[in-house]
Amino acid sequence: MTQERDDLEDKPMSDLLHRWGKQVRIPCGRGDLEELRDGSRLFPPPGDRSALRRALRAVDEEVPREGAPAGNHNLAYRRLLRRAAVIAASATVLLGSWWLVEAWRAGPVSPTASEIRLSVRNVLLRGETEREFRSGDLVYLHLTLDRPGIAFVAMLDSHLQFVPLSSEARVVGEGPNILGPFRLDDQSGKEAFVILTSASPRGAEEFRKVIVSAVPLNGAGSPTHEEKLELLLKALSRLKGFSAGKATFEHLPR
Amino acid sequence: MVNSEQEAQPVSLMERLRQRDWTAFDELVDAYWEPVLRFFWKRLPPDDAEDLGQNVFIAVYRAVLKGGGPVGGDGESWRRYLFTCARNLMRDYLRRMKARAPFDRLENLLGDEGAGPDVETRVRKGEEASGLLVSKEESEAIRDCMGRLDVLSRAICWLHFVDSRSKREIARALEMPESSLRATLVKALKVLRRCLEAKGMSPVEQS
Repeated sequence: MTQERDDLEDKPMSDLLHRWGKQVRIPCGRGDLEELRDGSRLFPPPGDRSALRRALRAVDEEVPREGAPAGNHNLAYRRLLRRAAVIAASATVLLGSWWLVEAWRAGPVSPTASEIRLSVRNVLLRGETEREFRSGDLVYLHLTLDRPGIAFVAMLDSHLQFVPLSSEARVVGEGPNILGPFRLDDQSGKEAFVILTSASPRGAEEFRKVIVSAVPLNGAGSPTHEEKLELLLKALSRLKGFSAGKATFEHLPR
Repeated sequence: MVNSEQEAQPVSLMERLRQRDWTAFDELVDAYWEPVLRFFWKRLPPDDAEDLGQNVFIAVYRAVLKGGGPVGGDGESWRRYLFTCARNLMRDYLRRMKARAPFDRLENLLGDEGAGPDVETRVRKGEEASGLLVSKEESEAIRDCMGRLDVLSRAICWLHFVDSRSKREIARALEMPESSLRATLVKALKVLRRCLEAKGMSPVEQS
Protein backbone atom coordinates (compact mmCIF):
# COMPACT_ATOMS: atom_id res chain seq x y z
CA MET A 1 0.00 0.00 0.00
CA THR A 2 1.33 3.42 -0.83
CA GLN A 3 1.68 6.16 1.72
CA GLU A 4 0.17 8.72 -0.61
CA ARG A 5 -3.45 8.31 0.19
CA ASP A 6 -3.01 10.60 3.12
CA ASP A 7 -2.20 13.41 0.69
CA LEU A 8 -5.67 13.46 -0.62
CA GLU A 9 -8.07 15.74 1.12
CA ASP A 10 -10.95 13.31 1.27
CA LYS A 11 -9.23 10.73 3.43
CA PRO A 12 -12.33 8.57 4.12
CA MET A 13 -13.05 8.34 0.41
CA SER A 14 -9.43 7.64 -0.36
CA ASP A 15 -9.29 4.91 2.30
CA LEU A 16 -12.48 3.31 0.99
CA LEU A 17 -11.08 3.24 -2.53
CA HIS A 18 -7.81 1.73 -1.35
CA ARG A 19 -9.66 -0.98 0.54
CA TRP A 20 -11.86 -1.58 -2.46
CA GLY A 21 -8.82 -1.66 -4.72
CA LYS A 22 -7.16 -4.29 -2.57
CA GLN A 23 -10.30 -6.36 -2.61
CA VAL A 24 -10.94 -6.29 -6.34
CA ARG A 25 -7.32 -6.67 -7.35
CA ILE A 26 -6.79 -9.88 -9.25
CA PRO A 27 -3.81 -11.59 -7.75
CA CYS A 28 -1.43 -12.88 -10.30
CA GLY A 29 2.07 -14.14 -10.66
CA ARG A 30 1.75 -17.53 -12.23
CA GLY A 31 0.35 -15.91 -15.31
CA ASP A 32 -2.99 -17.62 -15.26
CA LEU A 33 -5.96 -16.40 -13.32
CA GLU A 34 -6.51 -17.71 -9.86
CA GLU A 35 -9.81 -18.21 -8.19
CA LEU A 36 -11.22 -14.80 -7.46
CA ARG A 37 -11.90 -14.10 -3.84
CA ASP A 38 -15.42 -13.40 -2.77
CA GLY A 39 -16.17 -9.81 -3.53
CA SER A 40 -13.26 -9.34 -5.90
CA ARG A 41 -15.32 -9.99 -8.99
CA LEU A 42 -16.41 -6.72 -10.53
CA PHE A 43 -18.00 -8.00 -13.68
CA PRO A 44 -19.96 -11.21 -13.30
CA PRO A 45 -20.31 -13.09 -16.58
CA PRO A 46 -23.47 -12.13 -18.43
CA GLY A 47 -26.49 -14.02 -17.18
CA ASP A 48 -28.49 -13.44 -20.33
CA ARG A 49 -26.45 -14.94 -23.08
CA SER A 50 -29.01 -14.67 -25.84
CA ALA A 51 -26.91 -12.07 -27.67
CA LEU A 52 -23.88 -14.31 -27.39
CA ARG A 53 -25.92 -17.27 -28.60
CA ARG A 54 -27.11 -15.34 -31.61
CA ALA A 55 -23.56 -14.38 -32.41
CA LEU A 56 -22.40 -17.97 -31.99
CA ARG A 57 -25.11 -19.19 -34.32
CA ALA A 58 -24.03 -16.64 -36.90
CA VAL A 59 -20.44 -17.79 -36.60
CA ASP A 60 -21.50 -21.43 -36.89
CA GLU A 61 -23.28 -20.62 -40.12
CA GLU A 62 -20.45 -18.50 -41.36
CA VAL A 63 -17.73 -21.07 -40.81
CA PRO A 64 -18.52 -24.36 -42.54
CA ARG A 65 -17.86 -27.56 -40.70
CA GLU A 66 -14.81 -29.47 -41.83
CA GLY A 67 -15.72 -31.48 -44.87
CA ALA A 68 -19.26 -30.18 -44.87
CA PRO A 69 -20.84 -27.69 -47.21
CA ALA A 70 -21.41 -24.22 -45.85
CA GLY A 71 -24.52 -23.91 -43.76
CA ASN A 72 -25.35 -20.54 -45.13
CA HIS A 73 -26.98 -20.80 -48.50
CA ASN A 74 -25.75 -17.46 -49.74
CA LEU A 75 -22.24 -18.15 -48.59
CA ALA A 76 -22.24 -21.55 -50.24
CA TYR A 77 -23.64 -20.08 -53.41
CA ARG A 78 -21.08 -17.30 -53.46
CA ARG A 79 -18.29 -19.76 -52.76
CA LEU A 80 -19.54 -21.96 -55.58
CA LEU A 81 -19.68 -19.01 -57.95
CA ARG A 82 -16.16 -18.00 -57.00
CA ARG A 83 -14.90 -21.51 -57.64
CA ALA A 84 -16.73 -21.70 -60.96
CA ALA A 85 -15.28 -18.38 -62.01
CA VAL A 86 -11.79 -19.51 -61.11
CA ILE A 87 -12.23 -22.80 -62.98
CA ALA A 88 -13.68 -21.02 -66.00
CA ALA A 89 -10.85 -18.51 -66.03
CA SER A 90 -8.26 -21.27 -65.72
CA ALA A 91 -9.91 -23.31 -68.45
CA THR A 92 -10.04 -20.28 -70.72
CA VAL A 93 -6.38 -19.58 -70.18
CA LEU A 94 -5.46 -23.23 -70.72
CA LEU A 95 -7.59 -23.60 -73.82
CA GLY A 96 -6.37 -20.29 -75.18
CA SER A 97 -2.78 -21.31 -74.64
CA TRP A 98 -3.38 -24.69 -76.22
CA TRP A 99 -5.10 -23.10 -79.19
CA LEU A 100 -2.29 -20.59 -79.65
CA VAL A 101 0.35 -23.31 -79.50
CA GLU A 102 -1.57 -25.50 -81.91
CA ALA A 103 -2.21 -22.64 -84.24
CA TRP A 104 1.44 -21.74 -84.19
CA ARG A 105 2.45 -25.33 -84.86
CA ALA A 106 -0.11 -25.88 -87.55
CA GLY A 107 0.73 -22.74 -89.40
CA PRO A 108 -1.97 -21.41 -91.68
CA VAL A 109 -5.41 -22.88 -91.31
CA SER A 110 -5.75 -25.91 -93.54
CA PRO A 111 -8.96 -27.81 -93.08
CA THR A 112 -9.21 -31.16 -94.80
CA ALA A 113 -11.97 -31.93 -97.17
CA SER A 114 -13.52 -34.38 -94.77
CA GLU A 115 -13.52 -31.73 -92.08
CA ILE A 116 -15.23 -29.39 -94.44
CA ARG A 117 -17.63 -32.18 -95.48
CA LEU A 118 -18.10 -30.66 -98.82
CA SER A 119 -20.06 -32.77 -101.17
CA VAL A 120 -19.14 -32.70 -104.75
CA ARG A 121 -22.74 -31.90 -105.47
CA ASN A 122 -22.31 -28.73 -103.56
CA VAL A 123 -19.17 -28.00 -105.43
CA LEU A 124 -20.82 -28.59 -108.74
CA LEU A 125 -23.52 -26.12 -107.96
CA ARG A 126 -21.16 -23.59 -109.34
CA GLY A 127 -21.11 -25.50 -112.59
CA GLU A 128 -17.38 -25.34 -112.79
CA THR A 129 -17.23 -28.53 -114.79
CA GLU A 130 -19.54 -30.43 -117.00
CA ARG A 131 -18.07 -33.73 -116.14
CA GLU A 132 -20.06 -36.06 -114.03
CA PHE A 133 -18.20 -37.43 -111.13
CA ARG A 134 -18.46 -40.96 -109.95
CA SER A 135 -17.51 -42.70 -106.84
CA GLY A 136 -13.84 -43.49 -106.80
CA ASP A 137 -12.86 -40.59 -109.02
CA LEU A 138 -9.71 -38.90 -108.05
CA VAL A 139 -10.05 -35.18 -107.89
CA TYR A 140 -7.66 -32.41 -107.25
CA LEU A 141 -9.21 -29.95 -105.10
CA HIS A 142 -8.43 -26.43 -104.23
CA LEU A 143 -10.37 -24.53 -101.70
CA THR A 144 -9.81 -20.92 -101.32
CA LEU A 145 -11.38 -19.32 -98.34
CA ASP A 146 -9.29 -16.32 -98.85
CA ARG A 147 -6.04 -15.73 -100.48
CA PRO A 148 -3.83 -17.58 -100.02
CA GLY A 149 -5.83 -20.79 -100.21
CA ILE A 150 -4.99 -24.37 -99.62
CA ALA A 151 -4.67 -27.29 -101.95
CA PHE A 152 -4.83 -31.00 -101.47
CA VAL A 153 -5.71 -34.18 -103.22
CA ALA A 154 -8.92 -35.98 -102.56
CA MET A 155 -10.95 -38.88 -103.86
CA LEU A 156 -14.68 -39.04 -104.11
CA ASP A 157 -16.25 -41.66 -101.94
CA SER A 158 -19.50 -43.50 -102.52
CA HIS A 159 -21.43 -40.53 -101.29
CA LEU A 160 -19.43 -38.28 -103.51
CA GLN A 161 -17.75 -36.79 -100.52
CA PHE A 162 -14.13 -35.83 -100.78
CA VAL A 163 -11.79 -38.24 -99.10
CA PRO A 164 -8.36 -36.73 -98.77
CA LEU A 165 -5.72 -39.06 -100.10
CA SER A 166 -2.75 -36.88 -99.52
CA SER A 167 -1.80 -35.46 -96.21
CA GLU A 168 0.10 -32.88 -98.07
CA ALA A 169 -1.53 -29.56 -98.21
CA ARG A 170 0.04 -26.45 -99.47
CA VAL A 171 -0.57 -22.89 -98.98
CA VAL A 172 -0.78 -21.36 -102.36
CA GLY A 173 -0.80 -17.92 -103.70
CA GLU A 174 -3.23 -16.35 -106.03
CA GLY A 175 -4.38 -18.52 -108.89
CA PRO A 176 -4.58 -19.51 -111.54
CA ASN A 177 -1.71 -21.94 -111.27
CA ILE A 178 -1.00 -25.60 -111.05
CA LEU A 179 0.59 -27.32 -108.12
CA GLY A 180 1.96 -30.78 -108.10
CA PRO A 181 2.57 -33.43 -108.32
CA PHE A 182 1.39 -34.68 -104.98
CA ARG A 183 2.26 -38.24 -104.23
CA LEU A 184 -0.86 -40.00 -103.07
CA ASP A 185 -0.95 -41.67 -99.72
CA ASP A 186 -2.73 -44.76 -101.01
CA GLN A 187 0.55 -46.49 -101.96
CA SER A 188 -0.58 -46.57 -105.56
CA GLY A 189 2.32 -44.47 -106.65
CA LYS A 190 -0.09 -42.18 -108.45
CA GLU A 191 0.59 -38.56 -108.62
CA ALA A 192 -1.89 -35.82 -108.71
CA PHE A 193 -1.93 -32.19 -109.53
CA VAL A 194 -3.89 -29.37 -108.15
CA ILE A 195 -5.27 -27.01 -110.58
CA LEU A 196 -6.05 -23.63 -109.25
CA THR A 197 -8.44 -21.28 -110.81
CA SER A 198 -8.64 -17.68 -109.97
CA ALA A 199 -10.37 -17.44 -106.71
CA SER A 200 -12.85 -14.79 -105.90
CA PRO A 201 -14.31 -15.60 -102.54
CA ARG A 202 -16.95 -13.38 -101.14
CA GLY A 203 -16.36 -14.46 -97.65
CA ALA A 204 -14.85 -17.17 -95.62
CA GLU A 205 -18.21 -18.30 -94.36
CA GLU A 206 -19.50 -19.11 -97.82
CA PHE A 207 -17.95 -22.42 -98.68
CA ARG A 208 -20.38 -23.02 -101.52
CA LYS A 209 -19.14 -19.99 -103.30
CA VAL A 210 -15.60 -21.13 -103.09
CA ILE A 211 -14.27 -21.81 -106.48
CA VAL A 212 -13.33 -25.41 -106.75
CA SER A 213 -11.61 -27.07 -109.58
CA ALA A 214 -11.94 -30.78 -109.66
CA VAL A 215 -10.31 -32.75 -112.36
CA PRO A 216 -10.57 -36.53 -112.52
CA LEU A 217 -7.36 -38.18 -113.57
CA ASN A 218 -8.33 -41.79 -113.29
CA GLY A 219 -6.26 -44.03 -115.48
CA ALA A 220 -3.59 -41.45 -115.92
CA GLY A 221 -0.98 -44.06 -115.13
CA SER A 222 2.46 -42.58 -115.02
CA PRO A 223 2.37 -39.98 -117.70
CA THR A 224 5.42 -38.16 -118.79
CA HIS A 225 5.79 -34.56 -117.99
CA GLU A 226 4.49 -33.58 -121.34
CA GLU A 227 1.62 -35.99 -121.01
CA LYS A 228 0.83 -34.56 -117.65
CA LEU A 229 0.73 -31.11 -119.13
CA GLU A 230 -1.46 -32.22 -121.93
CA LEU A 231 -3.73 -33.97 -119.54
CA LEU A 232 -3.96 -30.98 -117.35
CA LEU A 233 -4.62 -28.64 -120.18
CA LYS A 234 -7.38 -30.91 -121.39
CA ALA A 235 -8.79 -30.95 -117.94
CA LEU A 236 -8.54 -27.23 -117.73
CA SER A 237 -10.25 -26.83 -121.01
CA ARG A 238 -13.21 -28.69 -119.61
CA LEU A 239 -13.61 -26.20 -116.87
CA LYS A 240 -16.09 -23.52 -117.65
CA GLY A 241 -14.77 -20.04 -117.63
CA PHE A 242 -11.18 -21.13 -117.27
CA SER A 243 -8.68 -19.69 -119.61
CA ALA A 244 -5.72 -21.96 -120.06
CA GLY A 245 -3.72 -19.06 -121.28
CA LYS A 246 -3.80 -17.60 -117.84
CA ALA A 247 -2.49 -20.73 -116.21
CA THR A 248 1.04 -20.81 -115.05
CA PHE A 249 3.07 -23.95 -114.80
CA GLU A 250 5.99 -22.74 -112.90
CA HIS A 251 5.27 -25.15 -110.04
CA LEU A 252 5.44 -28.15 -112.23
CA PRO A 253 8.46 -30.28 -111.62
CA ARG A 254 11.00 -30.19 -114.35
CA MET B 1 -13.03 -20.16 -13.75
CA VAL B 2 -10.00 -21.99 -14.99
CA ASN B 3 -8.79 -23.69 -11.86
CA SER B 4 -6.18 -26.34 -11.43
CA GLU B 5 -8.63 -29.13 -12.14
CA GLN B 6 -9.70 -27.63 -15.39
CA GLU B 7 -6.14 -26.95 -16.36
CA ALA B 8 -5.58 -30.66 -16.56
CA GLN B 9 -7.60 -30.70 -19.76
CA PRO B 10 -7.03 -27.30 -21.36
CA VAL B 11 -6.57 -28.75 -24.83
CA SER B 12 -9.94 -30.40 -24.66
CA LEU B 13 -11.52 -26.98 -24.21
CA MET B 14 -10.15 -26.04 -27.61
CA GLU B 15 -11.26 -29.33 -29.11
CA ARG B 16 -14.70 -28.92 -27.67
CA LEU B 17 -14.89 -25.43 -29.10
CA ARG B 18 -13.85 -26.80 -32.47
CA GLN B 19 -16.70 -29.28 -32.16
CA ARG B 20 -18.94 -26.27 -31.63
CA ASP B 21 -19.67 -27.18 -28.05
CA TRP B 22 -21.33 -24.05 -26.67
CA THR B 23 -20.89 -25.18 -23.10
CA ALA B 24 -17.15 -25.01 -23.69
CA PHE B 25 -17.70 -21.48 -24.92
CA ASP B 26 -19.60 -20.69 -21.73
CA GLU B 27 -16.72 -22.05 -19.67
CA LEU B 28 -14.33 -19.80 -21.54
CA VAL B 29 -16.57 -16.80 -20.92
CA ASP B 30 -16.97 -17.66 -17.23
CA ALA B 31 -13.23 -17.96 -16.81
CA TYR B 32 -12.10 -14.86 -18.63
CA TRP B 33 -15.04 -12.48 -18.65
CA GLU B 34 -13.76 -10.60 -15.63
CA PRO B 35 -10.23 -9.83 -16.86
CA VAL B 36 -11.39 -9.07 -20.39
CA LEU B 37 -14.09 -6.73 -19.14
CA ARG B 38 -11.65 -4.99 -16.83
CA PHE B 39 -9.29 -4.53 -19.75
CA PHE B 40 -11.90 -2.56 -21.66
CA TRP B 41 -13.52 -0.92 -18.65
CA LYS B 42 -10.25 0.71 -17.65
CA ARG B 43 -9.95 2.23 -21.09
CA LEU B 44 -13.40 2.78 -22.60
CA PRO B 45 -16.91 3.90 -21.68
CA PRO B 46 -18.59 1.05 -19.74
CA ASP B 47 -21.27 0.29 -22.38
CA ASP B 48 -18.71 -0.04 -25.12
CA ALA B 49 -16.56 -2.14 -22.83
CA GLU B 50 -19.30 -4.75 -22.50
CA ASP B 51 -19.93 -4.88 -26.25
CA LEU B 52 -16.27 -5.26 -27.00
CA GLY B 53 -15.94 -7.88 -24.30
CA GLN B 54 -18.56 -10.04 -26.01
CA ASN B 55 -16.92 -9.44 -29.36
CA VAL B 56 -13.63 -10.74 -28.02
CA PHE B 57 -15.10 -14.11 -27.14
CA ILE B 58 -16.98 -14.35 -30.41
CA ALA B 59 -13.84 -13.49 -32.33
CA VAL B 60 -11.92 -16.14 -30.45
CA TYR B 61 -14.66 -18.70 -31.15
CA ARG B 62 -14.56 -17.85 -34.84
CA ALA B 63 -10.78 -18.11 -34.88
CA VAL B 64 -10.86 -21.50 -33.17
CA LEU B 65 -13.44 -22.83 -35.66
CA LYS B 66 -11.17 -21.71 -38.46
CA GLY B 67 -8.30 -23.65 -37.00
CA GLY B 68 -6.76 -20.82 -34.98
CA GLY B 69 -6.65 -20.34 -31.25
CA PRO B 70 -3.90 -20.25 -28.70
CA VAL B 71 -0.91 -22.46 -29.17
CA GLY B 72 -0.63 -24.75 -26.19
CA GLY B 73 -4.11 -24.33 -24.87
CA ASP B 74 -3.08 -23.80 -21.23
CA GLY B 75 -4.51 -21.02 -19.11
CA GLU B 76 -1.72 -18.58 -19.79
CA SER B 77 -1.98 -19.20 -23.55
CA TRP B 78 -5.70 -18.55 -23.46
CA ARG B 79 -5.19 -15.38 -21.44
CA ARG B 80 -2.55 -14.06 -23.83
CA TYR B 81 -4.65 -14.96 -26.84
CA LEU B 82 -7.73 -13.26 -25.44
CA PHE B 83 -5.85 -10.08 -24.59
CA THR B 84 -4.22 -9.98 -28.00
CA CYS B 85 -7.68 -10.21 -29.48
CA ALA B 86 -8.93 -7.55 -27.06
CA ARG B 87 -6.15 -5.17 -28.02
CA ASN B 88 -6.90 -5.67 -31.72
CA LEU B 89 -10.59 -5.03 -31.20
CA MET B 90 -9.88 -1.93 -29.17
CA ARG B 91 -7.60 -0.63 -31.90
CA ASP B 92 -10.35 -1.22 -34.45
CA TYR B 93 -12.87 0.46 -32.16
CA LEU B 94 -10.71 3.55 -31.73
CA ARG B 95 -10.09 3.70 -35.46
CA ARG B 96 -13.79 3.40 -36.13
CA MET B 97 -14.55 6.15 -33.64
CA LYS B 98 -11.68 8.13 -35.15
CA ALA B 99 -10.50 8.51 -31.60
CA ARG B 100 -7.19 8.11 -29.93
CA ALA B 101 -6.96 6.62 -26.50
CA PRO B 102 -6.37 9.53 -24.14
CA PHE B 103 -4.28 7.28 -21.97
CA ASP B 104 -1.84 6.01 -24.58
CA ARG B 105 0.97 6.94 -22.24
CA LEU B 106 -0.59 4.89 -19.49
CA GLU B 107 -0.79 1.78 -21.61
CA ASN B 108 2.34 0.28 -20.15
CA LEU B 109 1.06 0.80 -16.62
CA LEU B 110 -2.46 -0.41 -17.34
CA GLY B 111 -1.30 -3.64 -18.91
CA ASP B 112 -3.47 -6.73 -19.01
CA GLU B 113 -5.56 -7.65 -16.03
CA GLY B 114 -4.14 -10.56 -14.12
CA ALA B 115 -0.75 -10.32 -15.81
CA GLY B 116 2.56 -8.75 -15.10
CA PRO B 117 4.84 -9.96 -12.38
CA ASP B 118 5.48 -6.38 -11.30
CA VAL B 119 1.94 -6.20 -9.99
CA GLU B 120 2.64 -9.18 -7.82
CA THR B 121 5.87 -7.82 -6.44
CA ARG B 122 4.32 -4.45 -5.80
CA VAL B 123 1.58 -5.90 -3.68
CA ARG B 124 3.07 -7.14 -0.49
CA LYS B 125 1.71 -10.45 0.66
CA GLY B 126 0.76 -9.09 4.04
CA GLU B 127 -1.60 -6.71 2.37
CA GLU B 128 -3.66 -9.44 0.75
CA ALA B 129 -7.16 -9.14 2.03
CA SER B 130 -8.11 -11.91 4.35
CA GLY B 131 -11.79 -11.05 4.29
CA LEU B 132 -14.14 -8.61 2.70
CA LEU B 133 -12.84 -5.07 3.03
CA VAL B 134 -15.92 -3.52 1.53
CA SER B 135 -19.35 -5.03 1.17
CA LYS B 136 -20.57 -6.38 -2.13
CA GLU B 137 -23.04 -3.52 -2.42
CA GLU B 138 -20.33 -0.96 -1.76
CA SER B 139 -18.07 -2.62 -4.28
CA GLU B 140 -20.72 -2.52 -6.97
CA ALA B 141 -21.56 1.07 -6.14
CA ILE B 142 -17.93 2.11 -6.40
CA ARG B 143 -17.63 0.28 -9.71
CA ASP B 144 -20.72 2.01 -11.05
CA CYS B 145 -19.57 5.41 -9.86
CA MET B 146 -16.11 4.92 -11.29
CA GLY B 147 -17.79 4.00 -14.55
CA ARG B 148 -19.17 7.52 -14.66
CA LEU B 149 -15.76 9.12 -14.56
CA ASP B 150 -14.12 10.12 -17.80
CA VAL B 151 -11.82 7.43 -19.11
CA LEU B 152 -8.61 9.18 -18.12
CA SER B 153 -9.73 9.86 -14.55
CA ARG B 154 -10.98 6.29 -14.26
CA ALA B 155 -7.67 4.91 -15.53
CA ILE B 156 -5.77 7.09 -13.05
CA CYS B 157 -8.01 6.04 -10.16
CA TRP B 158 -7.61 2.40 -11.13
CA LEU B 159 -3.85 2.65 -11.29
CA HIS B 160 -3.64 4.45 -7.98
CA PHE B 161 -6.26 2.67 -5.88
CA VAL B 162 -6.32 -0.80 -7.39
CA ASP B 163 -2.87 -1.30 -8.82
CA SER B 164 -1.25 0.79 -6.04
CA ARG B 165 0.73 2.87 -8.48
CA SER B 166 2.20 5.98 -6.89
CA LYS B 167 1.06 9.39 -8.03
CA ARG B 168 4.62 10.15 -9.07
CA GLU B 169 4.78 7.05 -11.23
CA ILE B 170 1.48 7.84 -12.95
CA ALA B 171 2.39 11.52 -13.40
CA ARG B 172 5.70 10.55 -14.96
CA ALA B 173 3.95 8.18 -17.38
CA LEU B 174 1.49 10.90 -18.32
CA GLU B 175 4.26 13.49 -18.56
CA MET B 176 2.32 15.84 -16.33
CA PRO B 177 3.19 17.55 -13.05
CA GLU B 178 2.42 15.50 -9.99
CA SER B 179 0.35 18.36 -8.66
CA SER B 180 -1.88 18.20 -11.72
CA LEU B 181 -2.34 14.51 -11.24
CA ARG B 182 -3.18 15.07 -7.61
CA ALA B 183 -5.78 17.66 -8.64
CA THR B 184 -7.29 15.14 -11.05
CA LEU B 185 -7.50 12.57 -8.28
CA VAL B 186 -9.06 15.04 -5.85
CA LYS B 187 -11.62 16.00 -8.45
CA ALA B 188 -12.36 12.36 -9.18
CA LEU B 189 -12.82 11.66 -5.45
CA LYS B 190 -15.35 14.46 -5.25
CA VAL B 191 -17.33 13.00 -8.13
CA LEU B 192 -17.15 9.55 -6.59
CA ARG B 193 -18.26 10.82 -3.19
CA ARG B 194 -21.22 12.64 -4.66
CA CYS B 195 -22.15 9.55 -6.61
CA LEU B 196 -21.84 7.23 -3.59
CA GLU B 197 -23.82 9.62 -1.41
CA ALA B 198 -26.52 9.64 -4.04
CA LYS B 199 -26.61 5.87 -3.64
CA GLY B 200 -27.00 6.25 0.09
CA MET B 201 -23.39 5.60 1.05
CA SER B 202 -21.27 8.06 2.93
CA PRO B 203 -17.66 7.03 3.45
CA VAL B 204 -16.48 7.89 6.91
CA GLU B 205 -13.02 7.81 8.34
CA GLN B 206 -12.19 4.48 9.87
CA SER B 207 -10.44 4.41 13.17
